[in-house]
Amino acid sequence: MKRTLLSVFMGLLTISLAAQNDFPSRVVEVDWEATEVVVPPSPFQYQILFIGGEDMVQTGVNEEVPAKQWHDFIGFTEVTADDCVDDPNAIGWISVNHERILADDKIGDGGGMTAFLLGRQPSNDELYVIPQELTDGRKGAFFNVDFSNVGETGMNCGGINSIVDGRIWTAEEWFRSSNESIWADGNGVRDTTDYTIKYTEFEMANFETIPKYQNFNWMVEIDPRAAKAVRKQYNWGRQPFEGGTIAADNKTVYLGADATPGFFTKFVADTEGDFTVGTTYVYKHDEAGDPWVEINNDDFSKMLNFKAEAVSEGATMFNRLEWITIDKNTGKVYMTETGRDNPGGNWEDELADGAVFAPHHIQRATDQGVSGPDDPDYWDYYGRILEFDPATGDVTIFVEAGPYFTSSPPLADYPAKHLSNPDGLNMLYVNVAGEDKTYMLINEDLNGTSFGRTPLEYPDDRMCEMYILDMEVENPTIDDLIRLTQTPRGAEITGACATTDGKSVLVNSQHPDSANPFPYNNSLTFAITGFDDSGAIETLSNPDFDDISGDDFVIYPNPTERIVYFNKVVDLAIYDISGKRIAVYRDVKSIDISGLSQGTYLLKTNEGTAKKLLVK
Amino acid sequence: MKSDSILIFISFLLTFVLISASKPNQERKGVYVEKAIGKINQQFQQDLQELLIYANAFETSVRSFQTTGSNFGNLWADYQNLRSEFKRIEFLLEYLDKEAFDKTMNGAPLPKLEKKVADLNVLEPKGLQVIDELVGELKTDISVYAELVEHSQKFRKDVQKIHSYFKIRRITDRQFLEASRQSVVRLITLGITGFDTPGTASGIRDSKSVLESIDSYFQFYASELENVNRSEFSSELNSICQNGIIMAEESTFENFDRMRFIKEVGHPIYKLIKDIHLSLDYETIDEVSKYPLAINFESNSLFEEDFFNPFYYISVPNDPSFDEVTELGKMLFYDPVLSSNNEMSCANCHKPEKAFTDGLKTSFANDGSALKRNAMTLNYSGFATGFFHDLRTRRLEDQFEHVVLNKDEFNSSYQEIIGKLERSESYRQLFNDAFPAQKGKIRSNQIDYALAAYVMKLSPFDNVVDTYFQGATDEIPKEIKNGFNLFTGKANCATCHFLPLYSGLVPPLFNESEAEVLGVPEDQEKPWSLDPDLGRLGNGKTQEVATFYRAAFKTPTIRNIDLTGPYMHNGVFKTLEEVMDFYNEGGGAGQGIELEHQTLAPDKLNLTQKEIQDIITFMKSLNDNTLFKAVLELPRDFEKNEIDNRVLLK
Repeated sequence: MKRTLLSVFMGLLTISLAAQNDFPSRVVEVDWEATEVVVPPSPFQYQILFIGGEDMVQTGVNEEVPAKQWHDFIGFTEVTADDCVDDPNAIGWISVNHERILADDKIGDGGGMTAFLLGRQPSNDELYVIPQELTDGRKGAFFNVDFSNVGETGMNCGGINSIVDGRIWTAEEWFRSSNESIWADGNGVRDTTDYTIKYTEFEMANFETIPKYQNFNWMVEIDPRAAKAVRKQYNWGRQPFEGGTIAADNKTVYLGADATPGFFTKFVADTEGDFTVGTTYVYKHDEAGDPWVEINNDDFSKMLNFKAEAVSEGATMFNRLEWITIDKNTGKVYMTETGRDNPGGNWEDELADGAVFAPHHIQRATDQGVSGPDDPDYWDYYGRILEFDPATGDVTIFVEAGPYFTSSPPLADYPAKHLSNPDGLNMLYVNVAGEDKTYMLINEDLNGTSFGRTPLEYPDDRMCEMYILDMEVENPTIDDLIRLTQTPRGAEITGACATTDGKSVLVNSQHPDSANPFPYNNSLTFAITGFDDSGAIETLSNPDFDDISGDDFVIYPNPTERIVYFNKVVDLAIYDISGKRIAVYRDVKSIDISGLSQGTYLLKTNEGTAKKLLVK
Repeated sequence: MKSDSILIFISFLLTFVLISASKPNQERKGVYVEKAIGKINQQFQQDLQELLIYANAFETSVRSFQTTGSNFGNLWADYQNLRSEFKRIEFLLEYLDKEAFDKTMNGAPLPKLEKKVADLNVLEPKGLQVIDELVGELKTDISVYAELVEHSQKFRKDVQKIHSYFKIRRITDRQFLEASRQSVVRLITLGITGFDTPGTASGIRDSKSVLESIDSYFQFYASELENVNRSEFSSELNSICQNGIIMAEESTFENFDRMRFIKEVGHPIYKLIKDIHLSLDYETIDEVSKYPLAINFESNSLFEEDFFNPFYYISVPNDPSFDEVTELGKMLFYDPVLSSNNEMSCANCHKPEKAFTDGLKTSFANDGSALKRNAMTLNYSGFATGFFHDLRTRRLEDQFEHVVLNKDEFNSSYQEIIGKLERSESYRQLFNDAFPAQKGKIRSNQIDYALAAYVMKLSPFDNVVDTYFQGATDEIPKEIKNGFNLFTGKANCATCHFLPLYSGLVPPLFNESEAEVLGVPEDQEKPWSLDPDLGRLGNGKTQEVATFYRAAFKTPTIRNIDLTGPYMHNGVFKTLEEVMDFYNEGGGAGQGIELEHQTLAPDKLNLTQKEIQDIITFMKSLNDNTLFKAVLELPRDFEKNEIDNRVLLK
């Protein structure tokens, strides 16, 4: 009897609830327990393009194996008329890094990359992978990039995606210092015989024989069309490279090294587009006049021992430089300085040998009341985004990550936006309703969960978010960031890269927890489309509930499939239809109900207000 | 407008009906009203303040030690004061910020690798366990003094940070109650076993502080318990704590009856806190988190079958078809169809009657030659976060591909195996039943999931020590009891073979499996030389290439150890007597092998023959009562019938 009565009431309620559906909130709320990718709401579209360990990559003619995991960098190389691609909707080649060193008979030992061609349906902007037949006879959708002509590759993290013509370099990050560390008892690179460099454009390196591990940690150009490596840049130095960018002159390359100390490197080609001949420099901010000091790249031993050269030149030290990007409109260079909790011991030797601290680190140390950035108590928990202005030669802080908490805030006071350890960095150029807009894409890679990088209530695993920033904002702070997406538990968010039409951003979810549901237990490449939609980004930044009046507790949307938003921070419990309390939330402004089965539930706040919720 | 008002009214009515239905006779407003918790928070802040005072006093005492000569008594007293205060609130510090706690407060005194950086950076240990070692050494070795000064200063600074960091925290009832239960797990597994106090063996004295703390904090709940007519919980908890305090006061580290303490103090408190939690109707972890934790809230003791949550350790969903997944896994486990020549199954090296080992020094390869390492038992092996002797994979279901692809083992591929399985109607049916949502095509992860689910089932928790702790019997032979107390005490075994699995799965969160460097010799010929196996250093993980991982091997469970010889990663020891002798002499480093980074103390344990015999008797009592058996028959309906002729290996 009670049940029947209830269902009648429910039916009535549904009608009234429908009226609430045009509620304005579209913000991407953080989900500390996400097991899937958290995606922005309509009008954005979400698609999974490439799943590690699941999609097959072509390693030879009629030979395929499951793709490697650990997706990191993503590059986009636009299709041009010269490419003679049959599909008129083809837009460009995608190159994805795999940050591993792993033995594999088919893919090749070490790390690697996967390349594929992407098309876009004109009718609905949906993306699809276009099957290809390559010049070497391989046929299929996904192609293993063949590095056999340059020796193995490994730990392919970041890279370079030229803003001029989409050329791609992959960065071999994790710095190797012995053959043992790449061999890994036969599980890594199994051929550890010495490597002789030959037939390259680099005369200073040709016929040099080096221990195998020294053939790692270079920037390596690849051709995504042929899925084949082109050359290792023996003239840019051997460094724990993470990112780089190429300026509009198609001559100047900026490079970052992920280490403490990490150095900022520049290469200037003699001829446009030919990066085999030119001059290599390291950044030294306090050098009189030009802050760039040349390191002779005709001397291969200097290229092999780049760090020692940089130190002896007194170069400027950074705390883990990762991705680098350039704003086409201004020519200014941006780079992430990821940070490391207590870097003191990591750069004290280099300091003693003559290298110098970037001015912002000295300032930070002073502000913290410690003796210097080499003090064991000096901290750099969150990192930052730096700006280099070629006009002035200065590196300054663009956005300081954080905020820092001396006292751990309760969940209710935890800031809606918290940026920790920025890593991936890229630009998005898009025309929205006739107006050209430029956004920065920022990826987190949390070094840990302590010091407020996640609220204390959620210490179990890292939760990495991606933000976008409107480049028109002057002197931006964390509050100007707009949350776009978030990868599931355990995953690092990497690779963010826009298609040149500005419609889509491609993102990787790297090394997620394998307990997440398929496919979120694998590394994967996904796309978010719709940046050219008028108002799409604005809705993300306008979560105001101010229009709503007359009710002290508002929930939206209802019915819902996944996230329910509230107009204020509340404590609340969910009861199922039988009246059993099934979940309790404290200090929340939204909840994720994707684990609940279809049906009707009751939300009751600590103040006693109750709302009925329909789960679709 | 009018209809809206009616609807709102109905909605409220509905709320009332639903809530009344859920809690007949219990409609209280108290669910969210703070009572005890306000005082608990006040007390926590006060205790933090005091910890800072004691940390300061200890640092001062250490600094003045030099100037006043060998005044060890003062330093010792200040150290004990600091420990007592720390142990009072350790449970909340550990619960609230585990990462900071392990890094700065009370982590193991071993170097660790900095996580999430692109190079190999060793973090030197700091905190109370390091200080404990130094205080212990200072008595006989003044040269550690400078180090002690440095660490006492670091500790004071870190306490300052934590003090400031927690200043505005407001702990909820759920958090307090969970932290309290966690502290009982810590007390049983890391406190009384001496893990916490490697230098001074103060674990028993510490337990007094922990129990006093639990006793006093829970007094804040007295009136709330009275409100729900559960006053007896207050008095029960108080009397158990007092009983435990008396036990601790009357004992030394060497003669403490740990078995009795766990049964009469540890477990009853663990259960009682759960009862208090439920009777007060505060939300439980299951109501606030979608993520499964490693241990089940509902369990009453550490040695119950339901203490661990299998679904934390494996990715296989807890679906209605889980039993079918297990059945499929069992079939696959015994079926040589998984190997390329249809001759080798999992059971080749993991035989059920030998607790899923093979009795060999090292296992046979598919060509009959010897593999590199000894086959580990599979019983209880699923409760781990690292697999293989070198911890090369993180989850159980990722382990099988290494056997499938290994040229010396199955020498196959998932595509090949799936190709074969799909030719059998029986297998197609088994897969469909096990994975009804993905009918029609066999996927590689289904094979992994099925095998993982089967292995997970091999954990019955029914040996004589388990059943004694579970309460089925109050009788246990004296030798076993004595052996248990030595294992968890003087012999230091349980500081690596953690209770209740006696494996390297680290309490109290049980979310990390450890490897240890023991200095296991290559063979028994004297003088000993270190086995050349790189262990964890060679596991293929770029991020783990640290020299202190050389010759580090996973710490396996010793449950069923009577059946799992020969022992060690290379099977070098044939008997438990040999194993005990190895440890009694301080491992490899204690017997002439040069091994700077051995994690086992190279000191002699000085166990008597009688003590060794009791430990062995205890270990031999850890055989499961449940016997596992192979499947009776394999599917023989393959379209290509040469597969049908394969032999079932049991």
